[in-house]
Amino acid sequence: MAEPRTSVEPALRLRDLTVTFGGAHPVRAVDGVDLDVHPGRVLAIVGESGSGKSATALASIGLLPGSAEVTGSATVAGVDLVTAAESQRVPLRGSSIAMVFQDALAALNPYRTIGRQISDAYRLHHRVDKTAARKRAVEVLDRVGIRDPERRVDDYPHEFSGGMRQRAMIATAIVNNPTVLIADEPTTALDVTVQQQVLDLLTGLTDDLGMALVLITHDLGVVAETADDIAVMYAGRIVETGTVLDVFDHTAHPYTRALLQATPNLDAPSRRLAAIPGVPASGANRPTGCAFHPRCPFAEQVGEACQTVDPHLTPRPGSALHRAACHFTAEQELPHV
Amino acid sequence: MAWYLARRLAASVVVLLAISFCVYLLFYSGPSDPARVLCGKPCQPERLSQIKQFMGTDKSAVVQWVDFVKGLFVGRTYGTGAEAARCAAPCFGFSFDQRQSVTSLIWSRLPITASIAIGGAVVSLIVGMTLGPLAARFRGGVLDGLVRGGSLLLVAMPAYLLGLLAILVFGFQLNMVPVSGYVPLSESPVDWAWHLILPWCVLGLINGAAYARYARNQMLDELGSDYLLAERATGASARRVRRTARRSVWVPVTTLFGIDLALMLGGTIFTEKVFSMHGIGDLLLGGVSSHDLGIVVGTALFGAALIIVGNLIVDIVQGFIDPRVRRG
Amino acid sequence: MTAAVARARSPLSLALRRTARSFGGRLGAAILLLVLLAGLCAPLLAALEGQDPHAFNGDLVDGNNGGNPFGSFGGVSGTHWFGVEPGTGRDLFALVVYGIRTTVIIAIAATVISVIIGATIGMAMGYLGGWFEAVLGRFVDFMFGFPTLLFLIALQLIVPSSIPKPVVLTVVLAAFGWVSTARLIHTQTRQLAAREFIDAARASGTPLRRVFVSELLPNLVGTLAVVVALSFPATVAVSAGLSFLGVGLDPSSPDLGVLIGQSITWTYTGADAGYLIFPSIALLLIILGATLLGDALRDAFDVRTESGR
Ligand SMILES: Nc1ncnc2c1ncn2[C@@H]1O[C@H](COP(=O)(O)OP(=O)(O)OP(=O)(O)O)[C@@H](O)[C@H]1O
Ligand code: SF4
Ligand SMILES: [Mg+2]
Repeated sequence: MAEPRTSVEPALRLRDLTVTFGGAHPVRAVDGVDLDVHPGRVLAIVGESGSGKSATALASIGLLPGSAEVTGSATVAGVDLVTAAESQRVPLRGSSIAMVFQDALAALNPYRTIGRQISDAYRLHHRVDKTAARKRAVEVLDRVGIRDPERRVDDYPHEFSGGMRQRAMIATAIVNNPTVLIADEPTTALDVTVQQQVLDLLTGLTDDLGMALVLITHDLGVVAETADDIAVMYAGRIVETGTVLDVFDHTAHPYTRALLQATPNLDAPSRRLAAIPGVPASGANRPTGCAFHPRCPFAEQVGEACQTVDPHLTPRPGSALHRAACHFTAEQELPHV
Repeated sequence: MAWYLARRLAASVVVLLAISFCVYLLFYSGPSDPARVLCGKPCQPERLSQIKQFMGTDKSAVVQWVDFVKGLFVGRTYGTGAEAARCAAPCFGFSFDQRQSVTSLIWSRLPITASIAIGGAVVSLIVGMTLGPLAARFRGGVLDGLVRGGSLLLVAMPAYLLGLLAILVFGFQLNMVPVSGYVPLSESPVDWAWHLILPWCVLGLINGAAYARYARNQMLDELGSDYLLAERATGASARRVRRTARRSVWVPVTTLFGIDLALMLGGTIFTEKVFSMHGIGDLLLGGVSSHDLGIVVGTALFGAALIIVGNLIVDIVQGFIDPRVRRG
Repeated sequence: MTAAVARARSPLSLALRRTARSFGGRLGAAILLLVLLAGLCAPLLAALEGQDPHAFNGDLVDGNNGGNPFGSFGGVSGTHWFGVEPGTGRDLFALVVYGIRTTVIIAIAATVISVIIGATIGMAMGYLGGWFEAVLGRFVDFMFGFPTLLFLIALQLIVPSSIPKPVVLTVVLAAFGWVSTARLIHTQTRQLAAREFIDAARASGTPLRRVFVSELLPNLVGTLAVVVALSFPATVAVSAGLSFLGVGLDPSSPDLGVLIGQSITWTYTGADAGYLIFPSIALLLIILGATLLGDALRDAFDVRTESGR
């Protein structure tokens, strides 16, 4: 794992990113998120269901539905995708920032061959003829580990196995060598054995192409093995962030601690999160003060502040990037259990 | 694919045989005796049995069905000697009233029904596939409201009602178009189309409204699908993604279209009646009023055969446009 | 087991409330109620007008002019609210309200019978499974795309004339109408049967009838409401259609389909169109009202029916 390269311009920079879903009861799904993702590094975003991971991802690539109001900035290749006109965003998607979805079967067009979908994506950004695009499709399929790509390029999605489909979707995403790749739970739908292969593929591509990879996951075991940096989200906010070493070894937020404890054994084959007691907060019903206080074992020790004062991200021991938003750990370390 | 086709074909034949068997049991062991109808009121017993023999109704329903199936494949001859009547394959039965095979009767009526059905189907497809996706595109707008309200009204509207109203307004009040009669295409293509314009519009509007509603909802489903979001993530413009969605909508619409067309070819009964055109539907109705069992059973079975063949064709076409169906 | 019933009841009232709140649902119910009431009170309304649907009034039509009614708008007046029928001079208002009555009674009877048949078969398919489900499933699929109308017409030929026409029509409509109900109920039952409480009932050896009545039915109430509301207008359309073609009720019966069918003759005489407009509006209102209500119910109960056709 490389050292943080703070001097280099980040490939993706989120500043005060806020997403509100409109309607009768507006939901603030993402609330003031700041993140930097650097070329060649893997940032993992973790958090319970509904914490705003996907909303953050879709806002970064400018693909939230019209019902969502987005403020703040998401800068890729010098362009702020939040404020830019759609005509400016379109050429950046796929070429500078690309995305891999959870369910490859749903995310691939059932009526078109894999090769067609990859070469279409290529031709959106390169003025080449169909033969050249097809050659490129075969090349990328080979790169993502599809055996016999010459032949499989003309297959339809339903003719691929689950793991191969996910590889094919990754191929569609990387065919234009994007600088940022967002993978939203890319392995959740896969068998355990295949999961590892797909993760290896993603990290391999990150290294080879110098991409910045944003890996959204429920799985802290995956984080431990593949990510360089981590951002823990709760109710639309980042509550702790830093390098994986910082966060795992010097855990500075009770929620992160709870997540880690709910993960029985980081080396066990299936590492879905066990439930954390209490009801997860969400943008719709955000508690006052620290949103985690109804579930937090340390809230009582701190007292009033947890229920009334919003904690902000402040530096914590470890690397310069390690920060957490918690009144308790601002004063002292979390006691070991 | 060949194996799949063969299997589907075999299944279709079996289904058709099963239907015809049920129909024969029902119709030829029932109380209605076609021989007695033909014999007339003062009916000598020997004449009756003669007629029965001629028609083949002296045998049991099952044997008659076997005769029918044989006739379908190799044709058959009714009666013997000078009176004998030949019914060539595929023989759908014989009208003793008109001394003609049902097949030739259907054949003579088919151009009319086919003109109405195909034209109406094409109009409905055009109406549906332009308005539906447009309504989806401008969801909640004026056009969407019109399409939704209009399709609700038109889907509720029986075809005969709209036809009569159209005759009343465009034929009589405005005196714009002919209201009845059919001119063969070979005689004058212009008159042919001119006489069919009202039925086409009536069928086209009613079925087109259903298509428009279906295409609209399908389009909205598609536009919310993951794979179109993924396509946008590769850098496709919103416009290009809509085009992809429209293409996807064609897949289920083609299926509907094929079945509807087959159903209509079996007899556009209401339209024919309203516009006084003598197609297959009219043939069936005439058969009912003259108690001609041969015509009635023959036309009904012909309609069933069309649907089965139509289904088969739709399945094959689907294999070409929807890759997921293709593996046999 | 009562728990299952209780669980089913509250979503039911919720859905009904949702239906009552939706504009389409309200409008549909209002229209339907109005027209049904008119049909139900047909004798009363006709008496109120002071006319009888069967009385011929030769003096009201112009024999020298193709039998067109005297007076404007087809003879609309204080005594003949909708005017009179060309040729016969029968009172149109009385004919229409009696026509609604006939059409609606037949359609209700046919719908009820077909839904009972369809629901029973659908539940049996979903619950029993196995070859029973496979065979009937094939059959239902097949019937679904069948040229039913042709056979409805053909059947007229073999039905003995001793059976009253309305009865024949009802039975025939029901016999062909159960298919879509069976299909929908089948899918729903299969989903329910996969749920534990049905499994539990089956495992504990509860008799079939009890499972149907006390476990399945309460959970299918919503779907059944939708099915009834949506197959009623379809039945109305087909039944009126058959009478229109002359293969349903006798031409002398006061029925909306018959009335509209006879209007073909008058259309060509160029008489004022009241004879077509009034029965048509009545028929359209029934179909439209029921469809609106059915759509609202379907949305409220979140039942997925066959496509958007
Ligand atoms: N299109 C939408 N309209 C309204 N609310 C939405 C929409 N999409 C997401 N939300 C809400 O935004 C919040 C965050 O959703 P998001 O999908 O980002 O969660 P997530 O962290 O990705 O969860 P998961 O792990 O389940 O994928 C949730 O409360 C969700 O209900
Ligand atoms: S701020 Fe208080 S409630 Fe929130 S995590 Fe820290 S200790 Fe717990
Ligand atoms: Mg998500």
